[in-house]
Amino acid sequence: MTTAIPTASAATDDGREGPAAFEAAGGEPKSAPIPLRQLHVGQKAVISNILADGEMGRRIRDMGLVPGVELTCMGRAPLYDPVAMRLLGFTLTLRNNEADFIKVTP
Amino acid sequence: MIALAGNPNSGKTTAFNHYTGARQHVGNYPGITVEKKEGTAHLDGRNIILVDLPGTYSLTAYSLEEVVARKVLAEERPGAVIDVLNAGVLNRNLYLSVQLLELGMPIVLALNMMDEAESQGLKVNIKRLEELTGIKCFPCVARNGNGLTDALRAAVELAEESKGRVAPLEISYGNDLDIALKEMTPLVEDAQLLTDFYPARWVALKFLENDAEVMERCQKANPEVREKLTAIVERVTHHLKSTLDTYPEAMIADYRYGWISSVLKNGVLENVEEVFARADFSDKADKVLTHRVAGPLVLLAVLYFLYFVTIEIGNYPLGWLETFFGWFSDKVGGAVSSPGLRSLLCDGVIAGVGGVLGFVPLIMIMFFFISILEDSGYMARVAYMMDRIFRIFGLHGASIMPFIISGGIAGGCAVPGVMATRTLRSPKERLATILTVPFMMCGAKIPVFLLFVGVFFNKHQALNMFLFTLAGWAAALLVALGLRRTIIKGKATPFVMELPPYRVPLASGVVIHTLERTWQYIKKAGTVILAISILIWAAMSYPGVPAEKEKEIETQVAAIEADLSLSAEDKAARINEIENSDESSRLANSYAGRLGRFLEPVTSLAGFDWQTNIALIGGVMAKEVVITTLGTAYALGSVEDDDAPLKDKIANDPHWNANSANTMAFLVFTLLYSPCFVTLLVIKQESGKWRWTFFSLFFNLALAFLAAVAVKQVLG
Repeated sequence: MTTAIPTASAATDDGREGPAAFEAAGGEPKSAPIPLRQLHVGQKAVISNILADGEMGRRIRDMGLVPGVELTCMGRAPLYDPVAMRLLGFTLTLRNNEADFIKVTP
Repeated sequence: MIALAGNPNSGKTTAFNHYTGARQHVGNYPGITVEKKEGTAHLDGRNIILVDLPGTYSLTAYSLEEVVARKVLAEERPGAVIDVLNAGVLNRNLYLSVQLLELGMPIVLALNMMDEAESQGLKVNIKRLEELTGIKCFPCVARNGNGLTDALRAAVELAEESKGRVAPLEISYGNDLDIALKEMTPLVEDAQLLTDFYPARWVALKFLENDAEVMERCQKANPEVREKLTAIVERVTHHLKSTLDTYPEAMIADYRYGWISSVLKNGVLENVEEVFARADFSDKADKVLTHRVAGPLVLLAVLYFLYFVTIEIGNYPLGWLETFFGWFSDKVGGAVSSPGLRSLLCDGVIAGVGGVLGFVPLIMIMFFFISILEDSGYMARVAYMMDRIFRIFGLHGASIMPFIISGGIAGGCAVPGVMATRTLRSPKERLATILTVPFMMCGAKIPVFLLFVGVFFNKHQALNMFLFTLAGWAAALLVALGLRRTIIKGKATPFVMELPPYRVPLASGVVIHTLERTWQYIKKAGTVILAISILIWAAMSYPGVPAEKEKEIETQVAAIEADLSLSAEDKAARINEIENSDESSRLANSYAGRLGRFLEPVTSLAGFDWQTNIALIGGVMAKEVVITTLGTAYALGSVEDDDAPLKDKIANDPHWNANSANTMAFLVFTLLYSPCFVTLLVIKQESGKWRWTFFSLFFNLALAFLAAVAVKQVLG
């Protein structure tokens, strides 16, 4: 019960390349991390970084949003905010200004 | 004692209802509004006490729910915990389980909604999960009770074996933090910081997580050691920031999730990616129900339906109750000969208690539908769709429901409205909602507006009513904005919210929820109500008119009776007139009346004469009382059955008709001023503090008065 695999490295375990490696290899610029807000409906991305600390950071992490997790943008509320995402088998909504704390790699 | 823990939407409450049925008790933890649910379950001929912990995603100290859950686990020491998980969202649900294990709680896992997960095609290898974690796991379907008994039996056995504590799970949080923990844990142990309640390593971990509650308690217990611990935390925080650009808190979470995915990827879940990628029924339904155009239209229809059923249909049982209390009052009145006692019983006790119980059907119907909306998953969509608008005013998307119920569509009621704020999980937004819903156009204000609009506006009556309803909205939203900028200051609570899949609500859950809420209202409101009813009644009846005046009236009545030149009809009319004027002078002479006259020099700024003042004071009992009291103050007799005389009086009285400023100021005041006392009590019940009741009373009075004075001075 004392095993641990840090998720920070889980992304590379899956064979996905980190954003830095991608850019170094001359990968397409669209794969650089962007704020979650900029995802289009239906677009998939992997969380690369979460900038929030304190209560916001904790709430985000409590919901399973940690680096390496894959998510799909499901839709937006009628006034374009909040945004709904599907990850890990459930749907989560975030306000746009909260989504700005989360950097994703499409 | 066994505790039930789990995420919101994990089916924990359904499981609790299944275990305990009607044998449950709902209360509040002292001083706060988090619910405390306890019940007894029968198992193999034994009674087992079950505690339903508040649904939480985590065990930090950011929300009251989490603090409460932690406190119960540490201080009430359940023998074991049944951790209810949504089997379809294991990754996130296990995050709480890891924290229970870190705390050294003996737990069994109830993997709920196994049927749903399987129908999605998800394969959960339970054997493997047990092997890897060493915890007993049970596939369950809480909706029909499958698997729940096994989980409970295992929990009871575990409780007997472990006596409430097992060795806490120690996972690695990365090299830097592990080293810090190794340094900190002995310090905690030696100083015995909170070690009566928590494992030492856990206390150290909470320091790294920057947990305000734990750190404060340590500061009290041993400031010296606390300083040492904080120094270590600062050192490692700085180190992490400069080397990895992260925080200890984030690191800890990452490693917990890392531990979870190492378990799940080790043969517990096989085809996750494939299943998670598939759009399910809820995703398809949301394409319509949260669609740009269709979404708001459906929402409008749902809100209107809710309002219509609660208020319109609710009026029938309301009428029956009124009839019953009227009948009961007559019976009691007939049986009691002393006029003072009769008035106390009929106008004070029965009228007051009847008024409170009159709300019961409304509350039942409203909570019935709100439970359905919540359990079906639609409520979360409502919050999602409305959030952008309500956020502007410092509120939350879920605030819309209380606003509508309170009179967002004219004719609601603030009592169920304030109670409906329970669906809000953000404390600041919830308090701001509680304090502003009483500004809405509730059903009891409507008769006042109908009367005056009917008299003074020949055209566009409906339009005027609509404009007053909008004025209620404007006042509520602007005051909410003001409150959130001043006394309920602070950043918006993070919205971060789960949209649970759509489900058919379980009848038993809805019924239990509805009855619980109704009973809470009856119990809480009912105890204080009697005292306040009597107080208001006494203020409006005492000290009465002087004895000589009474005599005088008796002589006058006797004289009319004896006057042979008058017909019986004339006699009755004259006596009625005298009695009406007697009642008017009685009211004028009462404490409320004296207060009204005493305030006249001040209230004349807003154009209120003393009769208006008395009527408005009476309106604190219930807003519809404004009209009846105004009738009495103008010596018009009872206007309960027929308000024509009052209409004529107002239409012909220069105070009202010659000066539209007086009328407008009066209506603005009526819309905004102090909530009725039942609402005031419910505000106490829902906010947990008397302070907010008094705030509502005095702040709303002041605001209404300023607004009325402004109207009077501008139009005057």
